[in-house]
Amino acid sequence: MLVADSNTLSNQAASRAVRVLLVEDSPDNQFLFRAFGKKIRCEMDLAENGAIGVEKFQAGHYDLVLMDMQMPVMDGYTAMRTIRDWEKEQGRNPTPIVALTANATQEMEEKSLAGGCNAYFTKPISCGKFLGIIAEYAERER
Amino acid sequence: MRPLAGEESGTIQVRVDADLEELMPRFMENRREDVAAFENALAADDFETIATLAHDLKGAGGGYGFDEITRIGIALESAAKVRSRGDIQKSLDHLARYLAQVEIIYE
Repeated sequence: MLVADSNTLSNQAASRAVRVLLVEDSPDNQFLFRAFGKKIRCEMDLAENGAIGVEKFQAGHYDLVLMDMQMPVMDGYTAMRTIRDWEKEQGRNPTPIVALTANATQEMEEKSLAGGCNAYFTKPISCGKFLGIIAEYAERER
Repeated sequence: MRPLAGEESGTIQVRVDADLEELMPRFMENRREDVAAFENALAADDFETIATLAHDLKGAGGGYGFDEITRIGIALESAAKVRSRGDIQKSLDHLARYLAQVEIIYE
């Protein structure tokens, strides 16, 4: 009998690690979210702006995208719409995208949700909140 | 020289997740560099850079356990938007003082 990794803090009996694409330009948050991700079975790829995020998304396969909104080169809003358009063209099911932003305005929230993200959270993000987001929004293949 | 009084003396203890211990030297070093970057931007009347730096400060502080750093980021971002040099300088002094006083307890 195969026994799931008993060290995992996740209570989900997933057969593999959850795959997350973190699109975030702040090194402080990159290091922080990576440290949070180590507490569960989580493989995290990093993109430091929206353009790299779109490239990595198209080349990889993710259970969840965590998208910062204010970034250089291509902002999160544009990256999100680009990903949604590409998924439609490819006939793929939409991957959950969660917007993480330090701009806590109603306008930004509405814009993000209209742009195709599944949820919107305000930074700073605590470890508990981060793990809660992954548990709630990452869609794993069963 | 007058003795320091009230919050200007002593230390401020902050409890941080022990799993973040290895990240802390870099985080604190980045914050000290922020103070210098803010001062340079203020000297150049570069309020856009101040707003960007403040935005990052606001978005990261609390995640590491420093709610006060997020509060200072919020104050700096608001002050940058209205180009209030006095309020920016006040928040920068607050940040520098806070960084000098903070003592991290890992738990």
